[in-house]
Amino acid sequence: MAEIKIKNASVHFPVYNDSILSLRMAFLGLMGNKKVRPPLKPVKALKSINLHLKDGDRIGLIGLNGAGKSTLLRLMAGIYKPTSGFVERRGKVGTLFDLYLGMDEEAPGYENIFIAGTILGLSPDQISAATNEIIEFSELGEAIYRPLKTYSMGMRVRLAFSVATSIHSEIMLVDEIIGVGDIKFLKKAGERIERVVSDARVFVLASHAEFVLKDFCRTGVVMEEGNIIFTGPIDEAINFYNERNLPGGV
Amino acid sequence: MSLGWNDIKSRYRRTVLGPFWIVLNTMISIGFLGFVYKTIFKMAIGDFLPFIAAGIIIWNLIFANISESCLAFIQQKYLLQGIPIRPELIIVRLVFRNTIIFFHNLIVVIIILFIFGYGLNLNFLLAIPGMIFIFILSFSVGIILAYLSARFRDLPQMVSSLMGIMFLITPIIWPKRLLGENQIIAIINPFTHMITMIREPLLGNPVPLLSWIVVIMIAFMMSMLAFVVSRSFRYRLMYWL
Repeated sequence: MAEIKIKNASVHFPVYNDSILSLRMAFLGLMGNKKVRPPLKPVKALKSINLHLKDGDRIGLIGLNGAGKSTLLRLMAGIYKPTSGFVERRGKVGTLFDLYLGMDEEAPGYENIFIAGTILGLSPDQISAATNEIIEFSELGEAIYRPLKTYSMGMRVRLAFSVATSIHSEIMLVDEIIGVGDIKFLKKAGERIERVVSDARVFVLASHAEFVLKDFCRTGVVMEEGNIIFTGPIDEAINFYNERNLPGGV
Repeated sequence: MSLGWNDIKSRYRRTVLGPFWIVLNTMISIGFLGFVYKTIFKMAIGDFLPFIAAGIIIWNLIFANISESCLAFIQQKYLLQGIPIRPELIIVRLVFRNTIIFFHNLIVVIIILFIFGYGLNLNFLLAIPGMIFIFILSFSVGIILAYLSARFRDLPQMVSSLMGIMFLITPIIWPKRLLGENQIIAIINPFTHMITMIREPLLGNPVPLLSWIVVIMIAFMMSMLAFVVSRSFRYRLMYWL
């Protein structure tokens, strides 16, 4: 069983400007030097979030830029620890937050499958077992032997997505990126996510693309300035979000 | 970690000589040093070259581990923010990578040893525990420096200038006896003992007890400190990057 319980969790980022990160300033501060600039006010990225995700949940996170979607995903993944409140997590977490996955620009695609797979926690045997399937699914064909730096954005997405979803995670967290794939790949990606989700796992996706949200998610969570302001069926959530931000229709 | 191997491969991917660059670099610098000592200081390089060669490759290992660790978390920011992995793994990877490079270089030193008629004796095996302690030490100091550098961005610069000084005042390319009555400068310098731990066995000599004690003590203290640092800052690290 997979589960994420978030109770009253807040994430406040301290803002370190140049002077705060500097050792000299820390030292001068200790010596009581008045010239040291006070630290900037922390950014309140998430404010007392409460959320309970269970098996089979397919959540779409909706919100304007800076609403806290990515921070919430990272909080769920355990990359950030809440500055107050707490997060309980049960189940193996898989993430697809950026296309980087530690990949190497100079290395060919198939070697990057190895690099990314290792970083994501697979053993060499598991990677070799999954490699063919990953190459096939990503539809890179001969391009898999070319260095990563020759890849287009869409090819990178397909490779990263294929690797990340070949890992059997009970909780899958995805940020923005799948919107980059072309329509043909999106359809395949959809089928793959269907399969991933149908294994009774938790799936959370942050996206701005309505059709992606409608395809992959059942529940919508609308965020604004670090708060959850609406939770409900995905269609209602999208409507709520659109009305609020574009009153009078598009 | 197997990623360490991959790093080596990728570094030399588009070069003609590939991994031989590692060996060639070492050979060139050791060769030039030998030349300088022979022509300028009129030293008998037969006694001296193996000593310098061993010293330099051990120093390079320590130096690379320390200076790369300082930037490890800062440079891998996107990886740390993208995937929930333990930050310490990044340090394991780089220490491992540098150790592989060290073994490449070791070949050069062994060749030099044979050229100048040093046989390998059983003391050579003492280099193995020496290596293990350097590994533990690099890993612990690497973790401490990586965390602190993420918080205090001056640290990498400070460390690199400090390491420059250490290279000059540590008996790496000159023997300790040249200090004459000022031996204490070398004795209180922990780097002397780290170098000695591996160099003496390579040259076929036993390791002085003092070096054993110093290195083991520092390794123990640093691993304790690294444990405390990584436990207390693991989650705060993400807010520093």
